Amino acid sequence: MNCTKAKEWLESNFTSSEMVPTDDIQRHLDGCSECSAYYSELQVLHQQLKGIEDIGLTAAEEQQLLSSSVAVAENYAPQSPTNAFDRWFKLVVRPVAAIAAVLVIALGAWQYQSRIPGLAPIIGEMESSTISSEEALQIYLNSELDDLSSMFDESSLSYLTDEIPDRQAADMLQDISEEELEWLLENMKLEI
Amino acid sequence: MIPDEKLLIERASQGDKAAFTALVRQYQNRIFAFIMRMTANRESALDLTQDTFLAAFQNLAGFRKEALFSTWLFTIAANKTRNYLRRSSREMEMPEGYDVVSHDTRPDIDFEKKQTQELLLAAVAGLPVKQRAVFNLRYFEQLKFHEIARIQGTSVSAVKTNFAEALVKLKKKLGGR
Repeated sequence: MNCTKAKEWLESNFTSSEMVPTDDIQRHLDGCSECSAYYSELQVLHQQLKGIEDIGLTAAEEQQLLSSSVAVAENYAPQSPTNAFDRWFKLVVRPVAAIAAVLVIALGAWQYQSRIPGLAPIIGEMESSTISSEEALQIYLNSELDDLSSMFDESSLSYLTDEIPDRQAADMLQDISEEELEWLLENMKLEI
Repeated sequence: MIPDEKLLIERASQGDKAAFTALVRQYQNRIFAFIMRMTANRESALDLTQDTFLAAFQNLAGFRKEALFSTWLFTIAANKTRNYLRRSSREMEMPEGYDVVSHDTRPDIDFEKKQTQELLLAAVAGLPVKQRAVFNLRYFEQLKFHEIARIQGTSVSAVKTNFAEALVKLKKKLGGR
């Protein structure tokens, strides 16, 4: 028996009932001043906590609680036990219905968005899985959106420019306005 | 589980009010005492005890018969109390000298005893909520650590750690009284 085990035993057996050390524990306590002191501290705490052991309801409160519980029981019927169909309904039908609802909402939102002039071609191209980086840049440059930065963050811009050979980029950049060129030079780290 | 109790639960789940009343009578003191030591507020403890039994009655069908009915009730009571404490922003550790509002109007309890009781309740109520629940369930209700772990939805080792920490804090708070 060591101190760790002795303390563990004392803590595990510390309840509102009287704690009676086993022979092993008692032998350790007799020979260990530290654990013996710890045991004494727990006994003091045990005595103090007796003060809130007898917290309970008064007879009037008991009666009040019983009456209100009965009243409640009369107003609320207990829920019937869940049968196999209920469980199946909860586990399968509800999640499937929820997913379907989300899909319908998403589809509606997508359709609505695609009707906004200017956004439709961009969204359409962005959603294409075969789009090349050059095409993406072209769409990007041709877009009529004022705030280009709202569509792509800087990291994706860098990725696009890194992927495009300088010559091709230069060709594409011939058709753009001065404002767009300025924006690109600032945001895309292009060197022409 | 006591055979009679099993029968009472069965009958109460079928809507038998008398069976439900018998279950309330059997457990209301323990549940109230647990909540009272958690909240240190008599009025709230009474309300939460009633809420606990209402929830129990409504969900009796969901009670798994292999579990202990008392453990199930304490789980409901602990959840109700935790929500209450969260709502009333008491989850934070209460400051030293926290004033307990027990609203104890019982005439049969003398002033000195009442004062000591309030000081002790304040000390226990001053523990962080998890430690408070673990300490109350272990020390006063004498539930096993694995039962408390089930109630708290945590591991046995976490329960033991919380209990040990609660002991250290209580010894410090009550030392020299």
